[in-house]
Amino acid sequence: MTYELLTCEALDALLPDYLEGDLDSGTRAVVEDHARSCPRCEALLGDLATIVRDARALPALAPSRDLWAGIEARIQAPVVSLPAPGAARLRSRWHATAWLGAAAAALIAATAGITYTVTMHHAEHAQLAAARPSAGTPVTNVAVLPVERVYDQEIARLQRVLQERRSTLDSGTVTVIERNLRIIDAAIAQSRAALEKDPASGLLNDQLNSALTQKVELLRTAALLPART
Amino acid sequence: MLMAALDVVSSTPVDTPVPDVALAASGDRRAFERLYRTHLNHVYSICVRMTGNRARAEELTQDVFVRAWEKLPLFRGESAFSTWLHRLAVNVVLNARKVEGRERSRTAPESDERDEAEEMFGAAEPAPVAERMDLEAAIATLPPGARKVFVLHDVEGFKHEEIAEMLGVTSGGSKAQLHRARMLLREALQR
Repeated sequence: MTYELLTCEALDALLPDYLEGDLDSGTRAVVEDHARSCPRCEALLGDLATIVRDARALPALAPSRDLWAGIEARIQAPVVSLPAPGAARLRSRWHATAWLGAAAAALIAATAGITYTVTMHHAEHAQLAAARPSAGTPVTNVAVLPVERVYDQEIARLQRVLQERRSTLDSGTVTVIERNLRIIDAAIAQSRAALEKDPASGLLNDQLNSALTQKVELLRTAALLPART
Repeated sequence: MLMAALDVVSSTPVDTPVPDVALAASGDRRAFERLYRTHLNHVYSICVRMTGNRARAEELTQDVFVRAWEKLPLFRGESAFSTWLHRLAVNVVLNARKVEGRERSRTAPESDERDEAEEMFGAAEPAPVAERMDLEAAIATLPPGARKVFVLHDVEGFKHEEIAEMLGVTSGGSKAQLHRARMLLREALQR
């Protein structure tokens, strides 16, 4: 096929290959010859060439806010694992307290990055760098706090993180998380009520410990969920 | 010459010094933050142009960097870090779209693709006042399929073979969508 009498319709059909540079030199010359003598096709080729050129030169866009705080919160937490549920069998109130203390320390170490970042991200980054808690660094003042209070404080912090991210998460996932939290909260309340009557019960301490750990793990998982994926 | 107008070299972001990539891969968050600062705008640009929605693009940009942090130990340096990261960004956007598409198809299977995109990503938002506002705004109005191919090919510089693999289409399909996108953009810019 020759293009000596190239029509505008025929040029239209050749346009994709022309713009891709896929035409042989002879055919490309015929297209350009036609365009030079046809105002409609000259304008078409010129416009498309401009679009391609401008697209390649588009400047980078910037988000409306710094996204680092949210990223850092999500990459910082999983460094230190909580003790696996059932890793230690508790046989006394003293042992239960010691185990809870260790778990609370690990918990604080694991989640300090999240809570710190989310609660402080408006402050000057450089000023805070030196004070940032490291995920792998033991938190030495945990032991002086009542164990359950340590848990409660950390749970409250994680709940704030989750609340802040709530609008970015899948609503169905949030519903499931909240339903499970209610179940865990009921178990915690029952264990605490029973412990008031029998404070030395290893079994009840074990149950309370397990429920608190489950709640922290669930909150931590929820706080780290990717946005709506 | 018309073809000469097409030979503009794509602007390539400054690539990252190797030490920061290696440091971040070994767990150095400060090095990773430097990578983030270097590449943020380009990753965000990919996300916003592919979705047509700035708020969603910010969420996806965060997802991209979290994924990059997770996968960085697997980065072998076979390509430039920027190339690896940009492809990761494209994959994150496409995967998010697939997930959201599946969710939406369960509730409104009869809707057409354009409506689906608008519900997933929100209606296209106008770009801020800038030198290239007209083209940016026009890209955001493209149908999702044409927009993705146009952004990947004409803005990001991927080849049709690469786009076909990423989108699960043929090279011919990618070329057809690209031509459709360019013609629609011409029409939009002439209004």
